[in-house]
Amino acid sequence: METPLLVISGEIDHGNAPVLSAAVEEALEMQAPLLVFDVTDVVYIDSGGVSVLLSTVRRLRERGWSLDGSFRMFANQADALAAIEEFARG
Amino acid sequence: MTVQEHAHCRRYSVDADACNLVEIRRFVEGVAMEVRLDEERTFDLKVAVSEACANAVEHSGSSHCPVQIAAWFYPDRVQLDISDGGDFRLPCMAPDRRRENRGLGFPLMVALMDEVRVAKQQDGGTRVTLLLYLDSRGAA
Repeated sequence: METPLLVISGEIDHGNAPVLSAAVEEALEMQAPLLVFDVTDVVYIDSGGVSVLLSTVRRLRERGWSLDGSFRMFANQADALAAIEEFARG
Repeated sequence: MTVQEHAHCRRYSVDADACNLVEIRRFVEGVAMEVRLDEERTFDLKVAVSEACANAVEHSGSSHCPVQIAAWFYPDRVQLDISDGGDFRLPCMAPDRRRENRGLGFPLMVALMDEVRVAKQQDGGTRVTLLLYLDSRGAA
């Protein structure tokens, strides 16, 4: 199964949070049991961006997924990719 | 004895649109540079002002109302006034309870700044004042 990898970079604020929200929405539609965020190149995130992430966590909970297993966020690209590979291997 | 304070001011005005927050942060970077804030306090000021402006955008209700920012430079502090044409609302007063993750901005401002004031303006609208003292924590 394909695992969605969301690579976020730059400044996330109320102005572009809807773009992030749409990307998360698309990833959730894949129905994959794992969402991986690569935030290596995020230099700024405001409460609008944090809101999107919090509501993502809430949505995953509503699906009955454990947060430890289904929501992974990395500030290092190699670690993000390793998490996906690890999941693919089972 | 009267201590005379010499302040000068830089002003910035943009349409109340969240897409302008990025430009507002560039303005704040200029302000921070002028008072030689270190990297950490510059970031604090950027977050606080940006959150205040995001609130202003939200309760302005119209992108035609401007959000006005005034940066006042004093010998010992920098003061940012953020004015808008809307009514200030605390998160618990928000009419739309579905927006459950909103209202993170104000606590951030309070945590990051030395002083935060909210005032109703005579002509309607709200003014949020953020104060940062230029002490050993930040001034280079």
